[in-house]
Amino acid sequence: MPRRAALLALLRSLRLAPAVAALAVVLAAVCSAQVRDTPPVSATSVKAAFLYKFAGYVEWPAPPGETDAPITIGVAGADPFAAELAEITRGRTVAGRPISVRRVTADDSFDGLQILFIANQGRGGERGVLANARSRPILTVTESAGALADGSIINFTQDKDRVRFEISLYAAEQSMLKLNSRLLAVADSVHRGPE
Amino acid sequence: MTFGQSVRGKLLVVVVTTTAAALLMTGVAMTLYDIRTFRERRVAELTAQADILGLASAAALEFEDPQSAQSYLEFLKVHPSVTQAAVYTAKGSLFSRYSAPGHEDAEFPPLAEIDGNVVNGSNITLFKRIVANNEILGTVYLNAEYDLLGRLGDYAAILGTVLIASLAAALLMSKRLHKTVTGPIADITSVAQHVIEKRDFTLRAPTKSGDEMGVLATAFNSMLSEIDSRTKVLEESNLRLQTAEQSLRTLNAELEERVNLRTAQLEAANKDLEGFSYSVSHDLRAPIRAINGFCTLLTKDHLAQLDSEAQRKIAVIKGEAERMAALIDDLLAFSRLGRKALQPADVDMRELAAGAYRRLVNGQAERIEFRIGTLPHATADRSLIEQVWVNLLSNAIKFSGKKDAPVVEVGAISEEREYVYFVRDNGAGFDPRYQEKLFGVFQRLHHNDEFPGTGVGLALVHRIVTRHGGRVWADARLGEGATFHFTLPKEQGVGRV
Repeated sequence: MPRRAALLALLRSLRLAPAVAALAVVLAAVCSAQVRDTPPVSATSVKAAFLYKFAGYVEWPAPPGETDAPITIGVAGADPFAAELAEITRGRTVAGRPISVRRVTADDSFDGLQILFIANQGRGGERGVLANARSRPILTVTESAGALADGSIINFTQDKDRVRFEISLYAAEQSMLKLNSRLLAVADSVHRGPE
Repeated sequence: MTFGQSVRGKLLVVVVTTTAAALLMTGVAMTLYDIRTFRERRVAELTAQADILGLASAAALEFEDPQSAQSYLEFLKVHPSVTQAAVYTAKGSLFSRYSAPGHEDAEFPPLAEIDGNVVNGSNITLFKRIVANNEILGTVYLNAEYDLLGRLGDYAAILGTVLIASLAAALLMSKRLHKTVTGPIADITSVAQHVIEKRDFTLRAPTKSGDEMGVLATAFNSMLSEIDSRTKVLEESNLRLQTAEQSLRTLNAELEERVNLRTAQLEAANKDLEGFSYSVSHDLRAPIRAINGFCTLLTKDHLAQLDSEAQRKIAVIKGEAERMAALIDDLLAFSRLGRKALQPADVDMRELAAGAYRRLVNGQAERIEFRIGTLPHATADRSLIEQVWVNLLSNAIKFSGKKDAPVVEVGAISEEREYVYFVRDNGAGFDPRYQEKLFGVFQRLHHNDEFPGTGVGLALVHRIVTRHGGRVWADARLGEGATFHFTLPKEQGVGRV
């Protein structure tokens, strides 16, 4: 900050100590305002961010050939979420792979998907989608209580304002996915057997 | 012998000094090296810890799970030197924190703008970004004690302990080992002291050690044996010398005694002889005088009865008697010379010689050419030296008298220690073969009819000159004159005959 240094030097040369002190107080206030955390973001945004970050902790069975093919995230049942996710992941890569977002329905073919997010669609609404995705190398992520029992691998939970998640290692193994232990470490709970 | 003056003490000092110096240098070098690398190692250590923490906390940061990160930070309890640790979010807020027991009050600093470490007094702080997928997830912060002074103190304590222990060990070892080094030296020293005190060169130093000390001992021993043999030879030769000196002294004493005896005998004999010749001469004078007197009376009282022939024979008897009287007078003078002590005085030789010549010629022989040069004064008995001049000059006058142009010359030469005087004539001379006879008593080279004389004159000259410490000799050829030399020493006090 050469300008500030110059100003300080000028003030010092003018022997205006009180003015310097006042200025320092103002500057300190500005700085602390800058450092302060931004206001809490919405749960949707957090989930969207988590979703694409999961990709860094998952190991898919090696696809034939292409290693820098995009990681495709399918979103079922939540258009605003898909928009949010697309916004967040634009220009970002995971392990050198770009990320693309696709809206899917329960009847769609899930070919080419690495991650599938299934929004809360009311009681048991995601079961059909999960059944469709089962036994495929797709990381299924849900946000409904008890969804792990329906075959989901990761399920978002909410503790007050904080977004957390639980993991079913059993479901991951069923889908031939390997989850990084560090991901398991930050999960609220890890389920190792069938529900 | 006090400590430090004996070889043992010096060795001890050497051992202790070198040990201490080596240890000190090693210790200082190690400390310097450690201090130099201490910070690097500390930073590397902390960086590694920060890396591990960052890797472990990455997922916690990504999925906003501070408790998980906190649990990782809690592992730092096993590293008491780490006083503070924290994980900051990418935006700079504290995500999770850890304070070591006793450091709970310390505040956490705001997030630094760049990675790196700062050593501030006894603290080292380190910031390390957590990066995943080219994204900064957060920052690990570590604050650890950086106790350089404490470490230096530890080193000093270790070094001091090692130093003291090593010195003690070195002292103990050298006490044990000194015998192998200083033992032979002490042996040689004690032998040398014994040799000096007792003068016993048969002592020998033990030569059991195979090193330089052994060589020294061997050399010392060979020197001792050399001295021993030399001393013996010297003593023997001294003894022989003493014996020889003793016998020489005895011999000398004997010789002296014999010489004294002989001298006394000779002196006695000489005295007897002189007394004898004196009394004989003296006693002979009376009958001669009687013959002379009666011859005078005969011619005076009985002149009428004596014819001319008788008178002639009586004159012959008288002349012979007078000649005999002269002979006896000369003999008396000669023998007197042996008994009379010299009375040396300064003598004007020229005046003496000229006076003697004048009295001898008495105005009769003016046809003789007399030449006299400068004569140096001499210290001598005046009357005796006058006798010398009279005898030599009368000889010269006598033997040159028959020449047509007789010349008598007197001169002198000054040599280094003596004056050489000479009387030269151009008279009859003599055959050089008879030179030795010249100065004997009654020795005559000419017949009495030719040149009358008693044959005592030159003997008298010889005796006077030798009594003065001089020499006499003559050069001559028959018919061509003769030169008589005599010398007188410049310094008086030379022997007597």
